[in-house]
Amino acid sequence: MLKRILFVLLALSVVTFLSPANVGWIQWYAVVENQLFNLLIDSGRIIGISLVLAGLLAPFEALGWWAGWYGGKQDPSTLSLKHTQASLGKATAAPHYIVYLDGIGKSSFKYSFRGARFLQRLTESLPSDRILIDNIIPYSVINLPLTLNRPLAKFWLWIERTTNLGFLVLLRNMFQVAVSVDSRYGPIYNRGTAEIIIDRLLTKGYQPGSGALITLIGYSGGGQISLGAVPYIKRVLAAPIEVISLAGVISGNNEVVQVEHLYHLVGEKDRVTRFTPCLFPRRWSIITWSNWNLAKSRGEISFISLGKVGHDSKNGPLDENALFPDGSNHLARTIEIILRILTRVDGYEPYPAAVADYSAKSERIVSDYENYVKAKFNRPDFYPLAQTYCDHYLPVAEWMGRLILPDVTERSQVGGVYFEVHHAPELDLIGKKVYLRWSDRPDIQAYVNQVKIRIDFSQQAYKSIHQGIVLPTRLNHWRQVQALESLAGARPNDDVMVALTSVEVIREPQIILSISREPILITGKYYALVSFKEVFPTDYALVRHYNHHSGQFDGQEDIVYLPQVVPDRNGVLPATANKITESPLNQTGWYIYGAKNEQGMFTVQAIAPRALFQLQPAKVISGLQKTTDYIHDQYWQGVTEKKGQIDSILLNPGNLSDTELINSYQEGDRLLVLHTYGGIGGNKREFAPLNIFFGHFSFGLARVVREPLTQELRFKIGYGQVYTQNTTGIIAASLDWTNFVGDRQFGWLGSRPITDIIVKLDVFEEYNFDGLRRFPLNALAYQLDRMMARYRTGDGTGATFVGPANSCVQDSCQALYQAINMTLTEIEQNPQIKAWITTNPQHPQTQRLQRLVTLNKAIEDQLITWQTRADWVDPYQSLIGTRLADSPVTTVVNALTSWRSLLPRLANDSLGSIFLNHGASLWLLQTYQVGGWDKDIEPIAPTKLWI
Amino acid sequence: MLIIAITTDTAINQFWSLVSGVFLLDAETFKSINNLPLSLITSIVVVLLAGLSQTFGQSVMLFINRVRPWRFLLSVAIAAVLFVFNYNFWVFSTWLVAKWLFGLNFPLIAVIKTLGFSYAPLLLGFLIVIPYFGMPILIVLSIWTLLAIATGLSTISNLTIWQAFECCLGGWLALQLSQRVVGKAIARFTSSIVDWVAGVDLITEPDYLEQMLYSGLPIPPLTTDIPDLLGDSQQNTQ
Repeated sequence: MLKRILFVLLALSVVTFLSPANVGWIQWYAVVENQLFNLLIDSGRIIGISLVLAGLLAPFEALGWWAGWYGGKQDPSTLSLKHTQASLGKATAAPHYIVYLDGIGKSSFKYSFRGARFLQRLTESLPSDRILIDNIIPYSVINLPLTLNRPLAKFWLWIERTTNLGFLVLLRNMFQVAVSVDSRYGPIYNRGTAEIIIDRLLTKGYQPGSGALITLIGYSGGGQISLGAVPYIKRVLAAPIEVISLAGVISGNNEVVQVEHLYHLVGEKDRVTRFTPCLFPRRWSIITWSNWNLAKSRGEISFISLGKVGHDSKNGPLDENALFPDGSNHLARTIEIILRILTRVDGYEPYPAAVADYSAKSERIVSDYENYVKAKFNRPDFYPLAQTYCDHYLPVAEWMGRLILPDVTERSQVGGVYFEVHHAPELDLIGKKVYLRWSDRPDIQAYVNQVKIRIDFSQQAYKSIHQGIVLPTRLNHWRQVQALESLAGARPNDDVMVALTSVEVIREPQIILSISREPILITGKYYALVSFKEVFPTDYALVRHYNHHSGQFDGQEDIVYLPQVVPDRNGVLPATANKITESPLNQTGWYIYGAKNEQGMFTVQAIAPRALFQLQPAKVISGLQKTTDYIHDQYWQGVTEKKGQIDSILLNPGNLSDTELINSYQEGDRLLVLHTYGGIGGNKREFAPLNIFFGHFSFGLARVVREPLTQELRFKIGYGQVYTQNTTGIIAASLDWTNFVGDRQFGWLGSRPITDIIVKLDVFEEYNFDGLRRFPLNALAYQLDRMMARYRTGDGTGATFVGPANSCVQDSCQALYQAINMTLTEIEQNPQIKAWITTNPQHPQTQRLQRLVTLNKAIEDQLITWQTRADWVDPYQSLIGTRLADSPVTTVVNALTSWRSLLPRLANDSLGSIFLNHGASLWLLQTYQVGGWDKDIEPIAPTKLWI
Repeated sequence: MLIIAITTDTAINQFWSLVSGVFLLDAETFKSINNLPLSLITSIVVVLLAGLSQTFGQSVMLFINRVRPWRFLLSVAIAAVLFVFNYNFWVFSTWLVAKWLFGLNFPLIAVIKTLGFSYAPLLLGFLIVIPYFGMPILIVLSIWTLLAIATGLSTISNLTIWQAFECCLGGWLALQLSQRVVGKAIARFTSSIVDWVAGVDLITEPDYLEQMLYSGLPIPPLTTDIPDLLGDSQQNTQ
């Protein structure tokens, strides 16, 4: 057959080229070539002009809609709330809404054959409680099909019917996608589509703020449109949003970091999707500051292969007739993947963006935490629940217990975490495992909802685990993790011991403890005041209790257990009982915190030198200049020589008499604390790059309380620790002094020098505007709580890292900045406060309030040198859990913008000076590796650069 | 006959060939501009049209501010006129700079004519409207215009192309400087004209624009209540 064809061809060519007709052929060819060329040029021109025209016209539908040029009775850009109100009655409250946005082939509500099949199959396979929303025209801001009510409707109708002209619809819609991508038109266009989606969701009964999950499925251009709409939907519905991009064309210009997760499904033969990144620079990996790359490095994008599948129509992901080698068809495979995503349960992610890479050559480093909890006394089960005590021991709080993270399956039922009650005013609850939930109060719920987030560990988080950092591994791939869960699940074991305040007990239908304050992490449930008489080699110690009649340590003798603590990875012992009887602090006594073990022996988990907290300063320094100088460069002087000692220095800038000043500290006072710690030197010196000891900074709150054992006033300190995940297992949370400092295993009292500056300033005291009571430090507490909850989840990445832009000091100061703004806004906007000020212009409280405003502005000026960091202005932009290497440009710019809060000690000292200048008295409580004597370590002051 | 001779040789008659010459950065074209009658008018027409085209290209701001259709047209027209004024100031300062910096002595009118035609690439300014590709088009057109200006300037003087660039830069800096010194009043005046024509106070700051785009949505108000997270002084742990 082939031979025959070849023969015929040969014959024909001989006739053609060798015959006399040859000349004619050539002439004919020349004419045709010329005409063909012209024809090509002409059609090229026509195509070019139509493309330009189509491009020129493309933005005007969205622009005209926004400007209200199309008329209509109602302002088209205002979404009414009527749906919400209407739907509240119906309250369908499905847990999961799914919105489908079709590809760019769409010209009317009618789906293409394959699209319709896809939706039908999806609807059939979805669990009954999911609500699927389709019939949205993603390529029109007014949801108007091309074939209806438009000047060119007839034309598009004709196109729809004509088989080969479908590309015109593609072209038209492609330009609409370009409008969505464009930085000028995009915000308007995306607002339009978002409004349509929101409207449909509300119609279907979505309740804003309910936290029900929304999944947007965007096919092809629909991928870009879905991501464009996300910021608006998120703002209006306060919803967690996941996006499934099905062969999606994604520009990377969108706020992709705002979605909880993006699943990017791409076929291996899909040229369109593979070509897309070339067109959009923000998807190039060298543009490190783009949202796309940020989301990628944070583990928010899962790349999923659809197999050897093209982009659309035949051989596309929705083609039921195209088969894989294993016999399954494309559509079935696509549906299967999408269903696995839509129906996945918490704790299991079928398509994780990042996975633990166990092939790493280096061996996994065991965390200090893991080593510590190998010692029995560091585990809660070492201490039986039933405890009895004589008068010398008192409980540290009314409500105490252990947080237990519920299993994934129990989450919706528990609505918080479990609480194993160890101590309670309602005795019948002791020993019970009850539910611990947040109060229903709207302000509390608003806070709780703000910090809910889905956690997927980033690659870097997995790497951290490998490097011996304690991460909330149990929470990986959980959706909507709330602050209590992130607290209970912060460590791999249920060993978080807390004290609760303002507890409301609900007994029906089950026992629930409802709280309106963050639990406070404590060490030791009972405490006593003792002086050590002798420490035996068996780790037991003879102590003498304080006798409040004599005011001496001539009370009852007792034996307590002072277990040897486990050294950290550098061999440093966090605490030692060595020569504790010789410590200068032994005379004034120690508070010992702990509980009894199985043998009934009180085990000391934390210690606190009594003298440190007494309202008896060792020295008072008076005068503004002297006190400022003291904060400037004197308070850390001679730190090495002071090892094992404490300092209690009162700075008195207002030149009051000593007694008058000390007496101004009254029971019930709540005072701001600035906390810094330094480094560990000596034989077991810790690693410090360039010999710089950055140290650490945090805010805290001190209360002046009457201590029942001594009946004297003392400071009681708690911290709001914005602390990155670490090897010790310290959690970013409200930590009591006993937990963060005094703990013999996990605390820093024995190994680091510490300064707590207690700030007494009348403007921080409570205000009362005719019954409306306001306590300024509440704003800081609120912002710190938010920040700490975010630190626990790494804003969804599972881990936070110390870096120049995000660190204990940067983010504590960010919280301070937000708190100041919050306070100033409230003073400006609250009508009750405004009215009170107008009626009482000369009242001392008004003047105090004015001074609060001045102080806040002074702090703001100090923190912000030339302009506010972008991520401080808009909390939506701020993302912790990103490392310097992930987005170097942004990080460096951010760090430089807020350089005043770059170093712990610099920030601490400048805040201290501001407070002094505004009339505060500062009480410096300093400890220098206190407790027993460890010859291998020395205290090092945190490095101060500048000033 | 005489009339015909004049008409065949005016700049208006030669409009398209002059414009395309500028497009090609052809030095001969720039030379001939100065010698043709009516070239001043024509050059101003070029600037005006370029202004119209470019303002239309960048009209998205008017849409965001919801300007009504006929006011939209008026706004574009006024912006084009302001564009012409701005152009004249810039030419003037460039001329002054050329005079002082390089000691050149050529008539201001020649500079106006030449530089006006150099704006020809901006006649395509309407293409900036095209979504996504508009921004790169703007950059290309701007560079093209700058090249045309430098070529034009070096053609009518003895400056090299780099010196011509320096002149343009100097002129631009001088203009910026003078705007800082005396320009605030002018800026206020022009913006009040623009606002008056548009019928609304045009908002151009990005922050407010973003706020505007979120307006009208049923966004739940952020609670301004600061939750009492610290409690009363009486309630505390011991």
